Amino acid sequence: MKWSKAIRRGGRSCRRCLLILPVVIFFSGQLLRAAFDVFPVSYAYYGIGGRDSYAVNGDLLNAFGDPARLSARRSINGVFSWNRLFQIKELKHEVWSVSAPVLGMGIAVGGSAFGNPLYRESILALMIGKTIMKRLEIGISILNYQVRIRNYGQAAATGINISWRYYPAPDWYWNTSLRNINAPEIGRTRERLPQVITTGLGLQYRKNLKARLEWEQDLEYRGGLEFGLACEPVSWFGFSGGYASEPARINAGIFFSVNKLYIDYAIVFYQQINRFSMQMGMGVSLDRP
Amino acid sequence: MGRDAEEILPEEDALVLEELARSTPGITAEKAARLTQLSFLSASDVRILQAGADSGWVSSLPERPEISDRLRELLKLLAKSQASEDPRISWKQTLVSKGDIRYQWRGRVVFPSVEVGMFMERDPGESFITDRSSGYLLRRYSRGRLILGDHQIVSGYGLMFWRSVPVKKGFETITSLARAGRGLQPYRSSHESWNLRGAGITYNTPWGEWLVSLGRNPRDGYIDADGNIHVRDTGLHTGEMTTAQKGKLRETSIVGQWSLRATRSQIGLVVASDEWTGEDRQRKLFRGYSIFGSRNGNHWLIFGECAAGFNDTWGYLFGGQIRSKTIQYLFTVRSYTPGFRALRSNPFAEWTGSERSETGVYQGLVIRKGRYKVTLYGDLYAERLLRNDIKFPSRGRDSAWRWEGKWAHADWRLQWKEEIRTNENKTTYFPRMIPSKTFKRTLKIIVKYKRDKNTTWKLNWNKTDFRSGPISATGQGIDLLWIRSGEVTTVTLDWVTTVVEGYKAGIYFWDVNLPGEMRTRMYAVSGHAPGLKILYRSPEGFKIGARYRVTWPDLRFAGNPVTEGALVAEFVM
Repeated sequence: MKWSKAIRRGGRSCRRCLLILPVVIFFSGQLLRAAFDVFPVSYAYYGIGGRDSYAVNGDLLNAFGDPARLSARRSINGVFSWNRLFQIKELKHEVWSVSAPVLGMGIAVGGSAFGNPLYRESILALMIGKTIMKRLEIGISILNYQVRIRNYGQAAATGINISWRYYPAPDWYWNTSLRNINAPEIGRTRERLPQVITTGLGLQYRKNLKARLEWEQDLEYRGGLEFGLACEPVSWFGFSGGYASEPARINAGIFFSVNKLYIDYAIVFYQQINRFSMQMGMGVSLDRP
Repeated sequence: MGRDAEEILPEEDALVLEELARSTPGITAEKAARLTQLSFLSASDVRILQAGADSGWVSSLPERPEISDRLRELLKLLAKSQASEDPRISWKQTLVSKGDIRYQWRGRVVFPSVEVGMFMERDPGESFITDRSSGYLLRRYSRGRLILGDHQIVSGYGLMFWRSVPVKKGFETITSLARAGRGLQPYRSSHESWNLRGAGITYNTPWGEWLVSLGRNPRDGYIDADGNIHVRDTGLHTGEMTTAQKGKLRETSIVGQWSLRATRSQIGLVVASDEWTGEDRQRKLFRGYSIFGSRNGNHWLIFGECAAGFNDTWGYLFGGQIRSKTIQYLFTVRSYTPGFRALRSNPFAEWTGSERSETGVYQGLVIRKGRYKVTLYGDLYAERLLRNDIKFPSRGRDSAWRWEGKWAHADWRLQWKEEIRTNENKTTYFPRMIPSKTFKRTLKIIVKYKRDKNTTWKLNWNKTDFRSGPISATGQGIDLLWIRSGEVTTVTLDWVTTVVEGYKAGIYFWDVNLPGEMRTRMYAVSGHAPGLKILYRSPEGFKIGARYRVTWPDLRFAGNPVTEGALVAEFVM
């Protein structure tokens, strides 16, 4: 009996693999173009940032690629987010991050896991951000990338991201982030991890309205423009929307806070494949302004 | 009126000017020392700046009658700066779009006696964010300086060491050719193959200044089976072969220089050793030596350099200059044996690189009278041949004149240039004939009108005639520029229309340039090319700007236009 159970279990696993494999291959070919293309980012807060932002979830999630954001955090914060790419269970993406101020810097540790039992990409990160001379925020994050394929093997690589944010005036900023500036390679085939340059301007109007325009380019492909807008009509609720051209996607999100708890929910619609992803985040922040 | 579009400045000059423009108003000893690095200032201006910096009377420099109009204008611009303190940190990002994107990041941090600089670049099509990265640490001592990282040596008159851009033949040669190099400098140019990477140090003694440089410089290329060195200087790593050759050559350089500078004279001696190592451990060793010097009086200067280059080549450049308030005359003679080169040689010459091989005589004359200035120059040159060469030497003659003056509330410039070169050692099939000479004549008229403090108009008309036997081509172009400068924003509109019959009659105009750029464009087809530039400067020193140009290769605006643009963002603190 035990043998028959094992066989049935094995059969289910095989069927699952047969289902997962083409899904992963198909979508990898379309939009997930290389290992670690799926990177921690907050779609609800894509359009906003800045020093008066309540977007603690966004800052902590986006700090993996843009660690300069951490310098604005004044106390302990934590976030956990779930994302399901294209509504496919096997393409689940979970991210967590905890930050605290240490020695005048914002320091965070975080991790992300993408995939399924057959194929999994994990990131473990140390992120540091600091403010210099009031107007400039700089940051560096060191990431350990691991990819594991069941019954095949695993590989690891280390990447370094740097970013900076400059405020010519309190209500607008220019920032740039450089992902994997050390050009890491992973595996025996030495596959290069994505090197991404993001640069843009953000501005804030009366604390309630924020906008961001940026250029993002993965060096393997053409770059594209991204635009985001966020509105916080009241201190405990807000909504955002944005558009990116490469690949073409529209995102919309809502976020609200209850006491020190922050919850956000975003949908990203991919025009090329007519599918959408969902992301939900929950964060705790002890530094209410 | 600006420089001629065919006489671009080295990038280092643009960087120095930018840094000085960001500093506090007025002139200090340190700023005077920085100004001496500008390649377009004359030798006498450099002497005055150096004397002022050494003696402490530099603040009265703008009132000195002996400085040139150009230096006086530069000092007036520096006096207009609104910075309240000298910046300690500067950081600049540039994106240039033409197909794919070129990204550049440049930064500098200044402490009281230490300076740190860095530069990163990713060219279009390259796979690494930091395909090129460069940095230096400069430490100043009372008796000299130490540079760790990327540095360069600008020495003598360019026969052994010079910048990546040589002194070009033109109207500015009269002021810039007689200048000796200023020695050890940090390397900040985006040119990828000119730096020395290692350590350089200078030490001043009563018996002269000593300079030593040790470098281990990765270069792109390879050494073939016959021992020939193939070097790629483009800096582009976009294909499999170019990426595979990146940094595969190792150049180990050892340089020693002694120079003694007195009030009216200078002498220097340079010795350099250069070893190239390929991937297969093949080695090639080269050595070079040079001696240079100058002597000047109140109204005259004689200068020269003689060098033994690599591969048993040699060269010399000698000259004399006479100057007064109204007249300036320069005479130089040069000679380089075939293939003359040294470690970083870039002397004044007609032919460059491995084709360098010539004897030439250059003369220039500037006459100033009130509001008018006339500049003339002429250059005669001929190719040098090896003893057993069985070919005829190419010869050529360049001559040009320029008139500048003020008339009807506008600044005018009228300029004419003729270049004649013989066609030697070319073959063709009968019955075609190769004409004995090639002629190229250029006529330019430039008018600059300053309507008020904030608005400037500039009109530039160029005509080029090319003729080589039965083949002839004519190019004409007009460039209309409008600049509106506000308190924080500057807007520039530029419209270029050209009627050009071919590449050989191409027309040169300055492009709309963002801060730090020195780009010119050569128009080789007929068409229209409007351009726009917007630059915003905040009172705290933040700059953000964009330029955009659309080029239609057709006078009727037919076909698909080519677009290109750039963005720059820069902050100082």
